[in-house]
Amino acid sequence: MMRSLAVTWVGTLAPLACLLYLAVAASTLEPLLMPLAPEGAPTIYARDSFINLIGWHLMLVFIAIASASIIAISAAILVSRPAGRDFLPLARSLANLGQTLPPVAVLALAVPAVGFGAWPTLIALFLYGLLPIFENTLAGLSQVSAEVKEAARGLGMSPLQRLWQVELPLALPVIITGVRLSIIISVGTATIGSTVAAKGLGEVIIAGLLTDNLAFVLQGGIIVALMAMVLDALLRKVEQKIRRT
Amino acid sequence: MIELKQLTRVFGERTAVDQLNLTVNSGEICALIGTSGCGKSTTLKMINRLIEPTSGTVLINGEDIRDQSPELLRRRIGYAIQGVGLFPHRSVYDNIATVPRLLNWSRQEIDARVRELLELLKMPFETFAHQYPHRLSGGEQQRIGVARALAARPELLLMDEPFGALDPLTRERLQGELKQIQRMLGITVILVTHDMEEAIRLADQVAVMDAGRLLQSGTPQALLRNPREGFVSQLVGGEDRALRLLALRRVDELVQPLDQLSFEAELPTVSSGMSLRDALARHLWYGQNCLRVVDDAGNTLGGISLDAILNAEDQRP
Ligand SMILES: Nc1ncnc2c1ncn2[C@@H]1O[C@H](COP(=O)(O)OP(=O)(O)OP(=O)(O)O)[C@@H](O)[C@H]1O
Ligand SMILES: [Mg+2]
Repeated sequence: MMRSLAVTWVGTLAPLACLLYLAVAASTLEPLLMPLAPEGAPTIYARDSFINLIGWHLMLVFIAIASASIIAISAAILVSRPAGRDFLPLARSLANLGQTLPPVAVLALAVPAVGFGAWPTLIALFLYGLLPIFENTLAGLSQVSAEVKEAARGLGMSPLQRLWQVELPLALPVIITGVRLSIIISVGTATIGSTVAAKGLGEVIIAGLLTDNLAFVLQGGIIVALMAMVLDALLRKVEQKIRRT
Repeated sequence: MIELKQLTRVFGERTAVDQLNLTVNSGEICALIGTSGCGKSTTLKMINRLIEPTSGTVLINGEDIRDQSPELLRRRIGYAIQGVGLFPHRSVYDNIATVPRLLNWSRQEIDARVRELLELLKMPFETFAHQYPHRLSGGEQQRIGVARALAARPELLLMDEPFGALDPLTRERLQGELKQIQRMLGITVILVTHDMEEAIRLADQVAVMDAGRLLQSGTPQALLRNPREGFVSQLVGGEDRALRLLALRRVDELVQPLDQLSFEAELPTVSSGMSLRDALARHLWYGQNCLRVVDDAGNTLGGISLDAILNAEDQRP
């Protein structure tokens, strides 16, 4: 018990500590990374602060996944109602399409329509995030036992009350798993947004690739990985907490 | 009074319930009994509109149930099912409070009602109120299911095989509790079962169904004495019928003064509230022709003879 507690805390806090350290004091790592940078080139990315870039990066992810959650969860609820059952195949193939279109292709298609910057990236992340949330919401709702649903109906709950008071609370842990997956995927995917001038950590990695600066690539990559780890651990905690009650 | 009139439900090609007529008096327990698939659950669910009839009507105290929205109707009718269907994410307290909350009772009223019900079901509030369902035994879950069904003081309680999944001892205990509670509250109960013993033990009226039709209905005695040929006779059992009839009558019906009986000094006793079936078993066990009858306080009321029990059906009241 003590040991597993210690392990989970290390799992959450260690990546968080590393991330904060890199965000505010990356310059102290300069001697370590120096050998990876080309002669005379800077070792630590300095065109923008890491705090700023992390902020932008997270904002892109949160806006995209928040919208994807609203749409995917609503769609899953609708197609799981008797009246919406006919739309299940349609909704499912749309969500699948969002996942199978490579985000790079979405960017390329979106730029002519909405221009450079955050918009095309948001669209790509949004489409890419729909499927896990949609499928998990469906799975969560369908795993609510028939007896529980019949009891809710037999006690006189209206359809809306049944949804809010019984079905969604019971499906919530599974829905959150879907949201967590989408967030983790899109923290990584958001890096490509920098190719169309969206602010974020992709900028550091791309600058590194363009100038053959391995130090840059490493910094950007590590910060993105740490962000994904921290968010994953946090959401897992939320999930556990809900499951326990 | 609950009246089912020409009630029919068709699923596709299949007629699950076929022109069923049944009247259940207020304050009585009616058992719907029959083999699997004969339409018991469908009949029950048409009473709280979980299933809408294809044709026919249900009247509760003369009122057509379609005069009310299904939700409002269901909040007035208790409903307990075999699978219990307790809400796993809600504590025992919140499960029981479900319908009172739907009806916007005040917090104090709800609190008082939950305490009252847990007490009625002999489950201490402190121990159980804040437990989650998965921590309870099957019998405890079943009790909470009944408490939840009774929470808003319904006059009618519908139960679909409420004790099916329990071991025989627990089932018998809960049946006893149900009967006690039902008498105390004076509510009407319609209970689905496929266990004849359960129907005889609990019901004032037994309604036998087969293939969607009502074959016969009446008091347990009437059914045991004059079952219709065929399915009903088969269901009430050949040789067992005599024993089942004895199980419905009590020792105090057949008490005689002790001096009328030739008896030996130290007779084993039977209590006056025992069923004749249990008294017969005691006669056989002790190898006696006569037993001393005592009341709950232990006072001798008289005696009961083996002959009297064997002839009980000829001198029935
Ligand atoms: N929703 C439904 N759709 C189609 N057929 C149904 C539906 N509900 C019940 N039936 C059919 O109606 C018939 C009666 O079913 P019902 O559930 O009333 O039986 P029952 O007497 O309660 O049986 P059991 O003792 O097994 O619970 C069965 O043949 C069943 O297959
Ligand atoms: Mg049934």
